[in-house]
Amino acid sequence: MEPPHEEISRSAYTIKAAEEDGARELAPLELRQAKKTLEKARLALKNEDYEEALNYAKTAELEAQLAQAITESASNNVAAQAIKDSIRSLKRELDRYQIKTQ
Amino acid sequence: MIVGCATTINPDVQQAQNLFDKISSDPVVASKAAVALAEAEDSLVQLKQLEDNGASRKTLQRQSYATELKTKIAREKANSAIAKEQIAQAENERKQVLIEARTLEADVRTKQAIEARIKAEKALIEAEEARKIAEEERKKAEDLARQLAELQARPTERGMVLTMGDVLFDYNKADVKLAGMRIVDKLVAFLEKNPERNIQVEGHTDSTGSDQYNLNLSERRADAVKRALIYKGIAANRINAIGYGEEFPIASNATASGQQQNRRVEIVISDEKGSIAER
Repeated sequence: MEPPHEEISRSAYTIKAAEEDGARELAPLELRQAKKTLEKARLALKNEDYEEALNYAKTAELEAQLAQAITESASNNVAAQAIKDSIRSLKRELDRYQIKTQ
Repeated sequence: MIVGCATTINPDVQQAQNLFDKISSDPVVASKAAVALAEAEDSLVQLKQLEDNGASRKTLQRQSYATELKTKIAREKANSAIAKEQIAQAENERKQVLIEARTLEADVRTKQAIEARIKAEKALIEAEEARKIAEEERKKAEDLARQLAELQARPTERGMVLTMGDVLFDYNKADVKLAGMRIVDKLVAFLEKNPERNIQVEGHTDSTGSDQYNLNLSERRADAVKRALIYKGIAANRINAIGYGEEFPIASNATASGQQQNRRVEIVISDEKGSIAER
């Protein structure tokens, strides 16, 4: 069996991408889990247990993807809330203006 | 969506199955994260096959975990899609509110402009009316001045005063001569044009003769003028007749011409309120 270099670097890349999206703040537990699993994959690779390394690499990849998905939905929710708040204050101001000019 | 009917006993497989069933039953996840959910389902199918093929507990645990992760990813992608839709909707709403705000602002400006124009027009009309009133007042004052000039009235502290000289009366009598009647006619015209004004007719004599006689004569002369005015149609309550006798001379009684000046009837014209200052 070939050493799973490709799978390991792919999960490392996904973890990095998740961090860049803000996973450290928005999905810290999932990110930490992915990193731990990736370490296990690397350890298995070092021990030349390639099957174990591949399995851990695949799991780390999925965990990193979940961290990414959580990060994205959380930041979208924050953005949606911000727009809704701005509309609310805009409407309040409009109402005040209307009352004043009636 | 339910995969496999065989009852499983492996707790990891059971847990993955339960999570998948729960999340895939949410129609939002099915519609907003169809691809991710399909991948989770593939993973679950594989898990079932591995179980059926008698895979090791460790393999089943790993595959169950992978299935759970994929299921959770599907749920997060659905959440994300909903949030994105909310953002798009909110952006539209914000545009609407901004348009509304601009329309309102424009309405207010239009309203203010109309109000300002109405105000300006009103001010113009008021100024024109004030000008007309002032013009009328001026004309009235001019008319009055002309009428008074015609009467040959002169301004005094008590108002405009018209003097009917002695020659307009018969000697020692109280009848008004024809020449005097011309002045009476002018006075009638004036009183008709100025209904708000009243007059006081004051008779005076020189010092010749007794006080009582002079008082009596001055009263009779004032009354004669009043009677003539009433005869010409002036209301009696507008005319006050008084005799002062020789009390208020305007010239020396030592000369004949002075005496003649003192023998007179003075007609005092009231102000526009109809009142006359006391002598």
